[in-house]
Amino acid sequence: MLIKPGSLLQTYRCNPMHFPKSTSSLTNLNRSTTPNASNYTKCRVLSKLPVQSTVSVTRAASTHGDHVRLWLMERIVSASFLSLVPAALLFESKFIEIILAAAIVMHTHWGLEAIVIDYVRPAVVGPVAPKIAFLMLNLLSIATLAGLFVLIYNGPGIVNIIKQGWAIGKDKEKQRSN
Amino acid sequence: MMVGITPYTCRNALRQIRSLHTAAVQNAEARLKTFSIYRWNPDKPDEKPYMQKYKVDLNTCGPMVLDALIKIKNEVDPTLTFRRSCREGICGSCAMNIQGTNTLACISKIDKNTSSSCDIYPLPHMYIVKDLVPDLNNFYEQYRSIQPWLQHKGIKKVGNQQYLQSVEDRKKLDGLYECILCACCSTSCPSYWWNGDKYLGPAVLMQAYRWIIDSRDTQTNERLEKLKDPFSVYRCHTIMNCTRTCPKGLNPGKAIAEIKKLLANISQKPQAELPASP
Repeated sequence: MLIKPGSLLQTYRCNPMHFPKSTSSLTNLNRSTTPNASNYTKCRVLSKLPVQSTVSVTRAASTHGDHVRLWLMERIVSASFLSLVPAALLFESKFIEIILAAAIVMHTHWGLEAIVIDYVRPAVVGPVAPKIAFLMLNLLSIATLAGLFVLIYNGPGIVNIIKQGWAIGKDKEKQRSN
Repeated sequence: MMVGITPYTCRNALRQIRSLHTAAVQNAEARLKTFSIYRWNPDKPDEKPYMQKYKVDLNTCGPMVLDALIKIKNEVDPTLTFRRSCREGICGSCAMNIQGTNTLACISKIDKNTSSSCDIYPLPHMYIVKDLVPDLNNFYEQYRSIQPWLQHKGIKKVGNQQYLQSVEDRKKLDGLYECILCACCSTSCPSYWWNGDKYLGPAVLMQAYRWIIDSRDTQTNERLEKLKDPFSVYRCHTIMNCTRTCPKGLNPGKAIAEIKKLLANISQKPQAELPASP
């Protein structure tokens, strides 16, 4: 006897939260028998499983959008540090420092964004907290970029600040050796 | 009459030989190894999961962790629940977390040191059906979503000729097709722990790549199109726990990297060396 997909779905009425699609290997057991005869035992077996398989729903919700370009940008920015950081340290030019500041902010923003997606999930912390987290992240990135620009335009520059940091304690060494 | 007697005497002789062997083993001092095993019973939902300790004499037990589990189930506690089938690392049923590593119980040796216990947990961050049995429905559903079968457009009559593939093209599937879908890698991946509902996980992605790169499959672009969203592939942060834990020695991390390269057009699927149909 052939069973239409509709009648297969009906057997899940006992607990619609469990297995919204025919995900279980137990489903195929039905094909050889009449659906009503096996309803009872099957529901009993399945309802014992403490699991919600909502994968079809969440998969459908997550399978749109295009992340390819963003991924490519992430790789390019990451790789660019290999030349950008030594160049900035060597030349101490304002132009390179501006590019470096933008790249640093992009790099940390994407990294922290991945952390927020992984650890501030709506399923765990509710629907509001992730939105707050993303807002805070944006504010942090803007503040960081603004701060770095202040250093470049009104201060000694990013590279100079770092070199001043390295120089701390060097005076004492000199005094000691003298 | 001889026909009736011979098997009997034969069996007796064998029995004697076996008793000689086991006597030597029984006379040796018992080497009691403690196995600490995760227990949870769905029939008692109010009871929290707990670790139960069993002592097994290694002299009368096989060398692998699965041997010890079967011995415990047979001789000590028949309520202990775990999956097992082939007992030689080809079915992937007995995947579990042994001493902190996801692996197959049937091909991991028992540590001979009896002073430390052997801790056995189910695969991490999965819903548990009972004791060491995780619910793999989500995993299988994800596997189904990548359509793990050969799709070839352009051949009108199906079933009357072979799809051809050159030896070199076939070699591209080595290291991919051997996967037994034991879920050790996926359940070792932190990204899969946190976003297991949307991220496909290393095992499924390696199979996705296995069908993408198959020279006989013509649906490469359609397959890639389904993977370009932010979650299916790009939750992989190259943590590489998958490659480290794989009991078959495969490299799902590399397969995911190849998918990312194909998605970004950094690499292209090579042309088939032989047309699938002559």
